Amino acid sequence: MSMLSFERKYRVRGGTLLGGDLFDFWAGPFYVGFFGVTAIFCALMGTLLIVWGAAMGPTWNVWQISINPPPLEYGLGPAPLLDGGLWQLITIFALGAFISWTLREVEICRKLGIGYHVPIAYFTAVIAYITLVVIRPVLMGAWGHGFPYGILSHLDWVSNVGYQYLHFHLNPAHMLAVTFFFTTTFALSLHGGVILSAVNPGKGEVAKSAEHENAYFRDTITYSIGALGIHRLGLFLALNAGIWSAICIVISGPFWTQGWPVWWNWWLNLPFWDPRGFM
Amino acid sequence: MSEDPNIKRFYAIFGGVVATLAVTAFFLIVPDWDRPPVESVQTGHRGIGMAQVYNPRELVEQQALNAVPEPLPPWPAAEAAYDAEGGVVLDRLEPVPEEQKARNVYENVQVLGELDADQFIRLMSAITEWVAPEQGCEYCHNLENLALDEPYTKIVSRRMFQMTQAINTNWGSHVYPSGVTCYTCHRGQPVPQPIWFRDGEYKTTGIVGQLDVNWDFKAQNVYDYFSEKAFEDYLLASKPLNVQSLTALPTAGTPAPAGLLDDTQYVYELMMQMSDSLGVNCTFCHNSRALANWGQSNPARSTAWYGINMAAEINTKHIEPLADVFPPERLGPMGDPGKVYCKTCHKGAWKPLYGANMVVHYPSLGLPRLPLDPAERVGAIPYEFAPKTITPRALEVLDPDMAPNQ
Repeated sequence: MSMLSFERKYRVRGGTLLGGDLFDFWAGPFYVGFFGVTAIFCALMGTLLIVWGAAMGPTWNVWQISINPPPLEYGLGPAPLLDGGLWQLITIFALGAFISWTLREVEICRKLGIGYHVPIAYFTAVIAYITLVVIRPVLMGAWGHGFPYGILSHLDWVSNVGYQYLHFHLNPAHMLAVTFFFTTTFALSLHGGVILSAVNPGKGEVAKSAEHENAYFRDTITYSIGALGIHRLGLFLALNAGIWSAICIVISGPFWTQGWPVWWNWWLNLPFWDPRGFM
Repeated sequence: MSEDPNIKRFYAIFGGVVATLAVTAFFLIVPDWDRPPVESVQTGHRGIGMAQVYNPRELVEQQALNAVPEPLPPWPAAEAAYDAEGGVVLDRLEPVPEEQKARNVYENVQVLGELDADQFIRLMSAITEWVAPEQGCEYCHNLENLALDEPYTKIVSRRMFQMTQAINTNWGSHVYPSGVTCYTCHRGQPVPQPIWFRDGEYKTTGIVGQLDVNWDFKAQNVYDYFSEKAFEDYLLASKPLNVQSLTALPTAGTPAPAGLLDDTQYVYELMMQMSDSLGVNCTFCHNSRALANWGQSNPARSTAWYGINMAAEINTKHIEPLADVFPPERLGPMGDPGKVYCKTCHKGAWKPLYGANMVVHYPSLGLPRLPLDPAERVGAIPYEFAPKTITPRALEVLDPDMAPNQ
């Protein structure tokens, strides 16, 4: 396999967190490392357990296969394998795989001597998953509050959990999360659009520079955050989308048991703009 | 000096941090947050998110409001027939002799005349405790002559006896097995709370058809913004509730004519008040992947459906006809008597009094039956009682009397 010009730097020895030199090698273009081994092992085990769960029935329809968490009555205890225990095992392997992958990214950052932006960003998504299947179920006292592993069934879960709180769009953290998700795609589309335009000039034109991009946004939206700034902004928006998603679900149940519309009663009850004071 | 970019930067960061902390503190302190531990009850298949979530500290408060009064000692003729467990054994009672019947012992007993006179007095004592514990007999009787049809409350209470008997006898689909007594709604108050009155003429503002009645500046709860239009439409006029379109656009095949936006809003408001009245969320009855589909709904949904019809019958057959009987101060702004909705009986509990069976001690109010024969039921929706999906752990919280270990 041919080596790209920058790969020599990538293949730096050392920087491992665990395992020392033992797994400090590459398989083809891929760094292995201790956490690469555990990530592969956990991902394989989890996937095979899902396949085994599917084999236990009732369907091989890929849309309908679902590995469900235990009934609420088991609380935080272990459940029989076919009554949610399988979900518990798969959750453990999923956590193992996701956290291993994060740590493998940390090792690569250490090898390259760069910041930990990538593992932090990835771990933000992992935190959202941990919130859904560990933190919130523990706070509510039952693993049964986790979501099922199935293509359609997890959507049913999302819908029903929304209706547990009557109108989930009135969850203030959900509002922020949705706003951040839309804003991050909006920012990416602006940025992607300008980059693609700049590097794909029309016939007879030259590729445009960063200054051209700045001028374009100053003309159209009065401000350009700059070539470096857009990546900071993108990271900020994307991480906030994930963080507020985690917050919006962890407050639903553990910290608010009624409908989200009723949460807003605090607004009606604020003393200093109560119109009764002026009537 | 003030041009020093470092100073500017410092103030910007400092200001940002202070503002963030202030906003965070505001939202941590001001809203009425709950906290773990919370109590949850599964109401669907495991893992699909059908569950009721309760703050157990609020449940304890609610439990105190739903204490069941002790039944009065049985009337003499029945006492002999009580079995060792203390249950009522009506079928072993001898028929009441003609001269012992209330209609022959007392004058002007129109509804409860067939009762044993002692049983009749016992029921009168019970209703005094349930409805007018402070006012006593004179709340409904002229103490000079108890047989007179005055004050007006006597005529109302006679109609309410008929209503209670009708509910227990005809609406087993909603009230089996616990049935209802006067106490189910009254709870020691002469006028049960909460009740509703007509709002008045509904006008639209012309702004996307919005009603012009919702601007309640005294609202302390978001539910205060709801008009009573939903109650008028569905708990009085019995309009069909099936407003959900079966097609991508609400055109052909839509059950409700035209699938009006207004109708959808009122159905939503009716559902919201039902959720508030029963202290449950949407997934108590519905699987939200197909809200309208009966086959994917919980059995509780059919109980609720009969309840909507029952409330409409109570309002139209038993309460509206009393409009001329009530004095003006008991009537609403449109001259109509106060009517019932779910909360009038449920008072925030999934079953009134958590399903405690009071009527078994007062069988003259009618004993509810489970209507197994579809022909006996109102409507034609598959009916199945017993919410099987409620777990034993849930029953301990929601319904201590029905918990299997008792």
